[in-house]
Amino acid sequence: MTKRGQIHISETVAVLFIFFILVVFGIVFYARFQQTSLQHKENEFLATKAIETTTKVLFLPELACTKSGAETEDNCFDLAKLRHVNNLFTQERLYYFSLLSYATITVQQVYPPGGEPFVIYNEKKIAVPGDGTPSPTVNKEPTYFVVVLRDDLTENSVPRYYFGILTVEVYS
Amino acid sequence: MTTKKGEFHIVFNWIYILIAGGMILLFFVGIAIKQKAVSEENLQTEIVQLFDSLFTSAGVSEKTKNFIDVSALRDYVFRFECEKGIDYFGIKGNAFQQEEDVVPLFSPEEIQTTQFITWSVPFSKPFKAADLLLVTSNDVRYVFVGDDILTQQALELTTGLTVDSVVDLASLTAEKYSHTRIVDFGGLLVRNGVEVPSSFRTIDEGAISAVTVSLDGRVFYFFNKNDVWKQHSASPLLISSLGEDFPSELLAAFIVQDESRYACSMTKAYKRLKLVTTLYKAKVEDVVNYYTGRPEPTFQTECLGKLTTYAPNIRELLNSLDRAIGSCMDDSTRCGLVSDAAQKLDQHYRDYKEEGCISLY
Repeated sequence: MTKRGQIHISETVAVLFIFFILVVFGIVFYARFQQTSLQHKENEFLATKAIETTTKVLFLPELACTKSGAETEDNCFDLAKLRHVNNLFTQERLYYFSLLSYATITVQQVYPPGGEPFVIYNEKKIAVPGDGTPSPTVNKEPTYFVVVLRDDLTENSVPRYYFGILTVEVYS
Repeated sequence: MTTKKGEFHIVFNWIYILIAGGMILLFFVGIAIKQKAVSEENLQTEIVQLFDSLFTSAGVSEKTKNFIDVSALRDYVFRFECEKGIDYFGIKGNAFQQEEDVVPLFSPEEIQTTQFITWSVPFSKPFKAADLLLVTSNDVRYVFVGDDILTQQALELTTGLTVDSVVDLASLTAEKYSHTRIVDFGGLLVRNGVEVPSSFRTIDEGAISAVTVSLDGRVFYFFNKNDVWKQHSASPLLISSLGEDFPSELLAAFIVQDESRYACSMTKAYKRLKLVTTLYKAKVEDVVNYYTGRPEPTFQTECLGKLTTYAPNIRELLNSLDRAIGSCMDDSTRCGLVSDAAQKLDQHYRDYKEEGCISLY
């Protein structure tokens, strides 16, 4: 092999080396970009899901106060329904899961101060690691909403209204 | 001076470069084409998911019509299907379909438009149990035939939709709309075997369909078959309570493709009604316990009687409603029983409320 030939081969190897370095750089950069973009999308999805779930909960006929049947009172929950809705959601778990997905929904009476909060729905998303022990997921998005709680069980049959906080935590 | 061997070497090099270059180029072109197809599919999937969000918010905005401008999507055909009580929607030609198994969704089978119209109407039997989500477009023209009170109510309710009102079909012309649905109140002009309006005979058979509503609440669907009206099914939809209030189910019946799609989507509404009824039954027991714990000889005795002991009483009527919903879910031809049971319950509830008793719904 001549000296010229050897130089030619070294040149080709160098070009190929740089080419592959560039390709590896490109792949690494693309992977990092995709990862960030995926994370961003996941956060966006979780935020949208939180808003959607809160909207659904605020208008659930299973909770809403009604005025003579067809009309509902905005942002108002019927306390009598609140007391029983957890049983219904537990009995019809699959149905309500397809509506509310992974979430924890609680209502706390804040004025006048009430007792324990009503945990009306609790479907925590759990990851199952290698040893099979469930562990709570880290990605959750809580949203809070002020609602009115209506108590119909009063002596003069005139409903009483209280303030409450609706907390909707969604998981991804 | 180059030798013969050298010349051959140069030519071979060039051929090699051309083949290798061509293959590399083809590889990248292939990737680009594949990427384009994937992007298109992703875009369509994102559009469908976006529509799911739009439908979610529209579904809870009670009695509200939303006009969604989709001019940029005018090339896409949106397809709506319902199977075993689950609605599916997606873009025609794309395998991805969004599932909707809770909200009852009523729409034509296909929509290609520049503006979607979503409309949420409450479903109350007698208490609100769900919102029926009606989805249509500005490109679907509704023609109400009749001049009775029901027609007037329908006209008032459908403000914002593309609606015409006529008293006979002879003057009806086929306009630029993708579909015309005739709603014949009384069912006198659209009947099986009667000719479709003359202006529609030259255009696509699928561009026109009709719904007839009789005063006893029977709804029939008709389609254009060889320029005559052909009844879609021998058994009608039964929509009770065509009384003072215009039933929201009837609005859904105008919008939806046909009776099978209607029955399929309504399954979800009845399922929800059954669940909400369970809650009202529990609330009645709470009220009964409240009154039982306070046996002062006031109006409470009367309230307790109307709730539990009088014949019929609210507890009993709620159970009847529950049973009626059960039969309706087993056999959709028995759904009229639900309306009857709901009416009876509502009547007794009004009497109960007149006594100043605790509100139930």
